[in-house]
Amino acid sequence: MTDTRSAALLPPFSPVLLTGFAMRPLPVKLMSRLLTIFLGRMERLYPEIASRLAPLGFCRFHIIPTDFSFSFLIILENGKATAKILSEGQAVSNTTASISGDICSFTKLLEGSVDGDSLFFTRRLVVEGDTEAVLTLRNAVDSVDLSLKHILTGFTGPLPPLLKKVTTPLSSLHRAALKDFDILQKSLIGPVTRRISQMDEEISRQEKLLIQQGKEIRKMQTMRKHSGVVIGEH
Amino acid sequence: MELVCPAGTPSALNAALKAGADVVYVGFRDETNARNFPGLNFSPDELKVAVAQAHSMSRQVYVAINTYPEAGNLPPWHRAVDIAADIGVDAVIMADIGLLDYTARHHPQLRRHLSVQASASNPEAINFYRATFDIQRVVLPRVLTVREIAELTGEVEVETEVFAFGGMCVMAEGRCSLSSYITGKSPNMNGVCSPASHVGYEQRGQKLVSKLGDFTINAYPDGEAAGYPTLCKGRFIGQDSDPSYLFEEPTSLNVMALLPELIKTGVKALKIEGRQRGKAYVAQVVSSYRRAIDAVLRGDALPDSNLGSITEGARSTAGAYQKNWR
Repeated sequence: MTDTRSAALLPPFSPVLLTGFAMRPLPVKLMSRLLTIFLGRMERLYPEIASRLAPLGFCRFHIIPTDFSFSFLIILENGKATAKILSEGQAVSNTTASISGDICSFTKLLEGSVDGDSLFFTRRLVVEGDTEAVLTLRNAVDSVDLSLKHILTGFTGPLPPLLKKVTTPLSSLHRAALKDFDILQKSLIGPVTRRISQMDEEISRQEKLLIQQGKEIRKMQTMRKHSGVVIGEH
Repeated sequence: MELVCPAGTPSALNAALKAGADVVYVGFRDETNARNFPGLNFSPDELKVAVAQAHSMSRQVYVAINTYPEAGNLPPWHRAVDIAADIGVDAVIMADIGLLDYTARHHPQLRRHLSVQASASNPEAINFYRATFDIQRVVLPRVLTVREIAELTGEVEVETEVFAFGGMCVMAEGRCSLSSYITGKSPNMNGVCSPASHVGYEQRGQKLVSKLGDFTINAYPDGEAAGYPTLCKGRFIGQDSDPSYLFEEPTSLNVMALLPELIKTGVKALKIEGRQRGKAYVAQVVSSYRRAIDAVLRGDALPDSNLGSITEGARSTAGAYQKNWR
């Protein structure tokens, strides 16, 4: 079966993809609540973002992590953000813009460790809708030195020590899993890659041969011209 | 050799300073600068903090007030100059002769650099700006070869600054109005080429189509690096041909390989373009150029740098700097 979606919308083969599958049973309401708390904390820690977003007025951004089974609807009103989690396939209307990409790209963008333009131009992010609104959002978020760890570990109540305990081993686990997945991916596509390399070499060989033959033909044409015979002009 | 680096936000300024910028150049959040994009640039308060931060590290901040004031609406430009002078920035970068005159008369102690937007590329023009407005530096247009830069630097009475990395134009700097034919806005007057409000991207099957207003500028098959839809870098259909880049391909300037020659020309500063780009871009380009300049000045070989992923169209060129047909 052929997948007709744009290549950029296909999720990368990664541990996050499997985590996304595993998170499917989690209640959407609970996740929406956590996301709103997260945004509220982000707003308090980085008020400059809101001031840069304020000119947008009312906006609805649909953020679609391609390796998760749900998406986010971020609603901005004069710089203040609220959010909803949407389950897979749930209809969403009146969006200002939608942004699709893998969740790692989104987290790196939030922390400013990757260039948004490069992600877009190399198709790891797909943007549809109001480009100006998306650019404003990117510039606003990029204007501060945002730290996800700072936001997550700053929750009040019993959450912070728990999060610290969970996030530290999780990040090393994720790094290790990424390596394993890379090996797995290479072994899966290894035969195809080798075949493509062989084909590339064959094409290069044929190209060189063609150039050589072209040179020989031109040489022969010149020689015949001098001897009074012109190829193809009889 | 001064490394002059871009910052569209306070966070990008931090990144530039951390990566080794000698100078960071910025703009205000309005049409007085040529990167007037939404959500970008500095408020006067943010600039004040930025200048204090840079000065505490013995670095400098320049402010670009490099668009041409609108007829009958001079106050925003005059205000920008006054604020920059009050805050104590190290130089202002400007192109308009009226604004240069205003600055020379009202703030004679404030260093004035002639913006690339003025497109001054011969000794007579540059020395005229020096004699009339007492400019201390000229930012040269990206139309000169390294040999011409060396000759010009020897013939003018001011410091010269050249672009080293970043976006390329079709070499009509300060004189391009292409964008305004579709959007009504141009970089010279409104500080923005192809304003984002007129830009659209659509995925059509296996192609990403970029549009400016109602015009299709390009269509990129899956797997091909895309670009921002400026008219000069659109793919057009010529006579009996497939769509192709008739004016210019999407590509970035990168003169890293020419650094040893460029340093010998006597230019005072190398400029990185890209105030509209994120802090990750700033950090990567500035740290690469810092390493490269330091290596050349020590007499070492140029270090390896991989800037391919952040160039436009995933390609780079040394452009006119190594033009070999003159």
